[in-house]
Amino acid sequence: MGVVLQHVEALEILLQGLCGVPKQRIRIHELCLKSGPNLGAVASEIRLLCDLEQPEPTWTVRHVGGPMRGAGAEQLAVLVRTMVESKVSKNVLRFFYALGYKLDHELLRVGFGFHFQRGIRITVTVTSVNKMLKLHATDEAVPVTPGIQLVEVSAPASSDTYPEIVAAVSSFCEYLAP
Amino acid sequence: MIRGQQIVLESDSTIQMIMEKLQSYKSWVSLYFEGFQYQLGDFQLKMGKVVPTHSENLRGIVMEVEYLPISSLDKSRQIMEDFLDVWQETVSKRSLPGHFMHIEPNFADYGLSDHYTSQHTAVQYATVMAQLIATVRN
Repeated sequence: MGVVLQHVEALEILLQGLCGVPKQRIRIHELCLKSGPNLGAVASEIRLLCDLEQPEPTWTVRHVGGPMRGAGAEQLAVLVRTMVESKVSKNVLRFFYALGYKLDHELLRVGFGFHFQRGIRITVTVTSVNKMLKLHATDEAVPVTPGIQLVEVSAPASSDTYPEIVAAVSSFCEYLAP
Repeated sequence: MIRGQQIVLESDSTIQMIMEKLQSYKSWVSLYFEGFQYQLGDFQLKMGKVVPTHSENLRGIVMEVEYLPISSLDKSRQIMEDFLDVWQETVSKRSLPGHFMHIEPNFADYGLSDHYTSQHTAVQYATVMAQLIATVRN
């Protein structure tokens, strides 16, 4: 969901009150790579995340699967997707270029996040999504949707637990509804 | 690792699942190294058999030697060579089939320094694997 910039502070106060723990600052450089032509039977996409908030930037590689489909999925109030992540060393971009992947686009996400532990772990992030005018120039990023920030509510689940997780996330979102 | 481009990437074990999901590369050869670890004073030895996954056909025997007090490749070179000489002599007296080969990759080609790390181990195992695959092919 999106939130208009002027309401971000109110949302932050609400989340702080619900969470009780200070917010975590977010500054992540996200590089989306796609497989080059003739690489593999199907096209593939991989995301590299560089956490710029850390004293020494740390890298994560993330693969996100397509959303769950079918009659069952349509009845769910939230999106369910598979996701696999791995922490990696900082030469990961060079590694995937060597495998034949190419940079499709890159973003800079800046904002804050809260983690809630209510039986399950729910993460809420409020970020502005910024694009870079020059390759990898994170200091010169401009918002993709000026005046609007992205609010994401997510929780990890397994194939057996996702129905309860979906219910928990849906009910949590009601706290955030304006 | 990408041997052709001399890149070593360090990651969590979930990287294997990620590569499978991407489907851009398929597993071609999979070898299983299994054995025991021994401590001999300041030396730590890992000795294991190498078999293709889901098979019992012996492809080779791998021995990993570590001299614990020193992490520098240069400083430990002499003592490692001395250990290997003693080992080769002991093994030759037992008249066992086959012989041990010491293969030293050029770590600098991979951008690795004199200080030994787990990335050095990865390069060594990749080199050993390449040698084992080449031996079978020949």
